[in-house]
Amino acid sequence: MVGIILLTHGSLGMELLKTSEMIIGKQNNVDFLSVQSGTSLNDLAGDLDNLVNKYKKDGVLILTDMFGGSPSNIAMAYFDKEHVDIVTGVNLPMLIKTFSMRNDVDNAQNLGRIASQTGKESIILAGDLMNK
Amino acid sequence: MNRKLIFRVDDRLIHGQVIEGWIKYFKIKEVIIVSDRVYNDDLQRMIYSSILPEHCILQFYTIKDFIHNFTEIYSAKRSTLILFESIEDLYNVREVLSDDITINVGCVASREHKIEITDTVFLDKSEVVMLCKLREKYEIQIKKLPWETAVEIKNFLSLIEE
Repeated sequence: MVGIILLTHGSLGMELLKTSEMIIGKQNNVDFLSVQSGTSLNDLAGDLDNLVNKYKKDGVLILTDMFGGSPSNIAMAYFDKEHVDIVTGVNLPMLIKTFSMRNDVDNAQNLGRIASQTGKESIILAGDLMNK
Repeated sequence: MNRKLIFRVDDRLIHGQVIEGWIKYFKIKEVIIVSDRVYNDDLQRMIYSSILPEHCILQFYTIKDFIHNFTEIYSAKRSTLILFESIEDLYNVREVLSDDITINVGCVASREHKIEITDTVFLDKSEVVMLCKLREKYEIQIKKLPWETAVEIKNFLSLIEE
């Protein structure tokens, strides 16, 4: 099973995980890392490296909150690693879909594709529904 | 509007505060990363290049080359944000500082034995000494975002007294 690392500003990742578990139940092979105001990015990059290595065999998808933010910048260092993929802009529908599809894919890249597609499609402007 | 030349210490270099804050607020046209480490790291250069807004030019300099090329950078008359990873790197380019630039300390991560100045700025004694020396000549604003009020530290030197 592809592992998942939530790497976000503040406690967003932890809360997203808690909320998604509230909806679809307890998840395995998932970790979160948070960047706080005074966090040393060097230390955090070390923690991330340990987690990424932990999932070397089955692969790992890193989900970050915002492209261009520090969490995402740290994650980008792994963009060319074969067992890792990265998706930015994590939201709740994306995370739930990613958890539920983990057994149906065989690598991080395929899971990443599903995650990014679901994340985009999950955003709806209510007015558009009415105008259909 | 007069062009702005902002020297900022931020160990995260380009990130959310810089993109959403400083670049937008001051309509920055050019960002310069002054870091020997990043200059020699292709991956880091690629990451920072990919996240900058399209209307911004990004340049990388080593500390030595930055000092050497500063006259040219200064004469371009563009609003420019110049980023340093550490107080020490800023201190090492002090010969190019002048009254018409802005000096900002934004993010210096927490470590053991560091003094908490703000929620994003943690300094050790040697860094306080360097800032005190710079403060004798120039105003230094400690704040993470441009619209915030800078943190005033009246008894800055007392931080390092035993």
